[in-house]
Amino acid sequence: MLRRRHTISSTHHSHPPVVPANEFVADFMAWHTKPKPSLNKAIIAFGLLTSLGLIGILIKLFTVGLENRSDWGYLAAITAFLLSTAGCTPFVVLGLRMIKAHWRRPIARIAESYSLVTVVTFSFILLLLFLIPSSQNRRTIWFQNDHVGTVGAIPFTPHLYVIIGILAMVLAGLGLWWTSLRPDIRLVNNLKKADKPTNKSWVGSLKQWRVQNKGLAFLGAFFFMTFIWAITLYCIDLCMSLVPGWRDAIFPVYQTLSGIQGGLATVILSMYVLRRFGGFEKYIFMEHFWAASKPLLATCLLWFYFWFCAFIIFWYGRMPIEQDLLQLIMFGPYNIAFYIAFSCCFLLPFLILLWNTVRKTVWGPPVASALIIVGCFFDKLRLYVSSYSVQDDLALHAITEIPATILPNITDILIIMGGFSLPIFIMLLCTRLFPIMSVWEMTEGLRLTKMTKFLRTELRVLGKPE
Amino acid sequence: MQERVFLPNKQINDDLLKGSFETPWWYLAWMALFAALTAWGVFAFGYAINKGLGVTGLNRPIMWGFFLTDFIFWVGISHAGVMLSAILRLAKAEWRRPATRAAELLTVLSLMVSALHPIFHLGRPWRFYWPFPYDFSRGIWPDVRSPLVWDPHAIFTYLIGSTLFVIIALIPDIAVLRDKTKGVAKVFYGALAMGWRGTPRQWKIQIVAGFLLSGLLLPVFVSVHSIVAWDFAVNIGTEGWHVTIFAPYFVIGAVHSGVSGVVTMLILLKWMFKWDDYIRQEHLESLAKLLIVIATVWFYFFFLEFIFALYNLEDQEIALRELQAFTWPYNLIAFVFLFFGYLIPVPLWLFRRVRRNWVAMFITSIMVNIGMWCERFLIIVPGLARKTNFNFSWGSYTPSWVEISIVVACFSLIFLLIMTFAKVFPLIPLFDIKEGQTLSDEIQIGKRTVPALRVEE
Amino acid sequence: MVQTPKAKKWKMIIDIDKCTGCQACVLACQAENNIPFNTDALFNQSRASEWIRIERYWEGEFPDVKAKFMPVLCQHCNNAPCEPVCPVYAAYHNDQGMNVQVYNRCIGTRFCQNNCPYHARFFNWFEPYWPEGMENQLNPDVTVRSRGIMEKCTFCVQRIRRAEIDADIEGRANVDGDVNPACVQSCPSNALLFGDSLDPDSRISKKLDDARKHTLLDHLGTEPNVIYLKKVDEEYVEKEAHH
Repeated sequence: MLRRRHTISSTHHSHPPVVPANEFVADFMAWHTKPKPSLNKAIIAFGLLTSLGLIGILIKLFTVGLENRSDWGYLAAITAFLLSTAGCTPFVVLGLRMIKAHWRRPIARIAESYSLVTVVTFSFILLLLFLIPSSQNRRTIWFQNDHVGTVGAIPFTPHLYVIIGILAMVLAGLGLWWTSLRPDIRLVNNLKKADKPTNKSWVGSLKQWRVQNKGLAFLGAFFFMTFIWAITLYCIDLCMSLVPGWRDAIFPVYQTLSGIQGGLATVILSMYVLRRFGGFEKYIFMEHFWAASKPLLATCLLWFYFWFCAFIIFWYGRMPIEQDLLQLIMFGPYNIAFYIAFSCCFLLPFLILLWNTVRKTVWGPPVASALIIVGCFFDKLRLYVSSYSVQDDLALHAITEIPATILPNITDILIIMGGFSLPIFIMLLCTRLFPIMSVWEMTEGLRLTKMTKFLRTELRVLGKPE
Repeated sequence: MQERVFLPNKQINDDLLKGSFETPWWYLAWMALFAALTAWGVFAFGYAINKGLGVTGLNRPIMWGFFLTDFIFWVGISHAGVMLSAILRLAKAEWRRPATRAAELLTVLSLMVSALHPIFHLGRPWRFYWPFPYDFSRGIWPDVRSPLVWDPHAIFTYLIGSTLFVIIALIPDIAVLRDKTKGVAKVFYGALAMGWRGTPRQWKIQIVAGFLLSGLLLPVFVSVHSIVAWDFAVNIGTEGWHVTIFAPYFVIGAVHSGVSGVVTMLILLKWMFKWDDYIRQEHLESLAKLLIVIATVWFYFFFLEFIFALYNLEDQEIALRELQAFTWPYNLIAFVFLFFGYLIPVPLWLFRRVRRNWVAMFITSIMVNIGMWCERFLIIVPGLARKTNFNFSWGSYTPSWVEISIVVACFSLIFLLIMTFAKVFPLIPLFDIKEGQTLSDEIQIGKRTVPALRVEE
Repeated sequence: MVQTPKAKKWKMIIDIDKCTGCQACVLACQAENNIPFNTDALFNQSRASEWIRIERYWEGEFPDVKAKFMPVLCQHCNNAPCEPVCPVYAAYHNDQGMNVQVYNRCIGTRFCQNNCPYHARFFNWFEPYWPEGMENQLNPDVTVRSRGIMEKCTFCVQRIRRAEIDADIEGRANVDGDVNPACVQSCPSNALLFGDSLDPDSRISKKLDDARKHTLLDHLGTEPNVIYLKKVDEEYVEKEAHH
């Protein structure tokens, strides 16, 4: 009854042979130093698209200005989208590093490079903060209210603390990227026989490696905490507190999870692009996608779970405040966006990733990831455009009217296009300028992997020096 | 840090089957004590059925007290099994091996005990089976809108799934016992072993079944405790309960509580059976690191719950939080909860010396569970004591001897059942330990020899 | 032969301005509905069973102290929070707009009381006890509830059914005033008014759009069928609501 396919030896054949570390370095350097005209063309194309997005923001700024929050909903949605996809990839890679998952090694560098996207996103957040009123006498987590007599207890809320929180995350991400890059810059310069003044200090001694590892661990923990706090602040202060009557304790957790899901999806898509267009079939193969698909499936289920937690509480209680809120963000003017988000963040990826045969392919997880990216965007759309469109006085305790759907105008469409192309542009630029694979991590992994004979077959053996 | 030991299979068998073949004097003494406490609890429950629930300390408005607190506590402990056994099995973490059976056993037993609690707290316990759709003779089915209908179904699904999980993992070890015993014991183990011969095909089926059940139990374990949480969260009539975060907050609190419970259990097993070769400091350290992550995530959820409780600045919510944090005796319980549950254990666990110290881990893991029991109490009772704006009808609660006896009896019942199980079956899976040894290897990198793992695809 | 009854929706109006806090309604309800006697001990244990209770709040400092009385009973909410949470359908909504409790079905989970924002539901902690001889005053039309059952105000449904049956026997429809729950009947200041709001001629439907009307805890969306008329108090200052 058990088919031959499932015995140990037959699945083993799908695994390419283990490449010696030196061969990998030679391969990679050959690729890195080869001129790539198609890559340059792609960089220019996506760079143009990204600048169109920035032009869109500037046009909007000079035509409608910063008076009306409902004009800027789409920028808020794209900012949240970027924070949840590209902004979260370092978080994903850190988690994988912490549990010592070997499959992170090929895409660790790309994932960390996406922190550069967060620098741009930070500037969008600075712009959006002009639209957010002070947190005095309205419901926020800063509790600046006459009713309890705490107005003025904490100054400059929420703007100062949002800035500090997100800046901390940006700096942690950049620090991680740079710490991880240091050994490779030196290696690349050595092999290119170029003598750049930077990084002459890195010699690869045992002490330096120890410091580097500890630095990565420390910055990693710091990034974890600042990331979660940044997402919490962003989604509460720039979304939830703008809708009177919206009290949802799970919303920050839901957004963090949406970030992890988007980050994983971005990582998987980057892996696919690297394999397909970079030609790294020897180093990125089915096993990587299979290993990535399992947490992706878990995040799809968790997305549904956290959404359902909020939904069931609001829907079951039948309180008028909460029923109106459900209309606003799920079943009213943005219901189509919500249904698309639900299908693309949960239903379709779940049905795709459910099958082990699909998880064990190279194309399966990327298809699911592409759907998730689309779903993530529509999810942010239904949350941010709706909350930015609320016209009621924020000191009230419930919304009085549900505003009509706001469709994107031409500047909004430019912003959306720019938002989607920004991470791609950054990734392509990093491919051109820096070693796109983390050479030290890959060689570490390859050195720890050996093939040995066991009884009558050959097995891979993974070293576990910890 | 790995401290690998390589023991011959016969020694593994002898060491781990010690419980089944020897009966030290302290075993009988503890069993007698637990049996006595359980019997006293049974008597208390019988008294409550006979006289009515008035013998408890419950009143109006506090209609749910110790029994529901204990119910959530035991459902919480039951999450240990899935966390350690299922998730770590799917993640292929090697250090789970000695802990899996103890964790799964704790899951099954705590689920059975928690399923008893709705019976304790019902006004008419002899009708406990009415939420099940067994019959249409009354002309209606149970009300599926009620979380109290979802509850028993979820708990029984989880119980059946976990029991199957334990049984499947036990079969190879029962076969070893069958081969080593004679007479009535041999017949008993033989029947349970279901013809296990250890052929490759049987092993394949056993492993695949274990993986499948691990995967299927994961959504069940999340949904069971979420449904228990929604018993409270769907309420609009009680202060402090109608928050969206209750479901994952309870789940992660349960994992925190459950994994700490497994740590306690493992240390006790090591001390009682002298299993120093099998339960080593590396296991303790990995468990402690896992606990730090889980506890911190839990603390984040608790922080969100507290912030959003006060978010609307409603007078009655502020009154509730004042009761919880500043009024006797709830302020003491809140202090115990915060400090025992997180603020003392987790910073201690950040130090390697504490993580590798048996006594410190034993004490901190028990502290966590005391703290988490207090947390459940603080969620239920103060909310009911300060229900909505009608201060005229606010109340207070003192548990009676019936409730205390039944709660203590449940704890002793769990210990009783664990010790009975330890007599009949080995509490550390033999085949898991042997598998771990088979998969261990070493590789040479340069001049260093690094411990390694053989990876099966 | 019971005719098809015409649709009814029972409502009650409580005029707080007229309530003196005399507790006659509480006693009448207890006598009519076979509620056990509430002793001192029961009040101290917070287990007193009062299907209608007078909530009394003190306001002000001595010597300007004022007592505010508010009779609270089951609000027979149209959107009753107690109904979806009962696992056995013991609490359900009938077609006359009332929230009814079916004693036979109750298994005593007490979830309904936890979800009732008005504290309007009561549990039988022990078997009911009446002193020697007092069981003779029990109302034969009302079930005596054993231990483990939830109970609450039923708008004296036994009187409603009796009035409907009597009207049927006499071959007429019910008129306003046929039915009065025990509390309404016994109130000396006529603070309580009961009737069919779908009947355009009833006294209650004429009072339904009174300027002083409000319902309790309306931000919860329970849509009660018990309407309160505010106390007339020139010195009263409306406090800002915080929900």
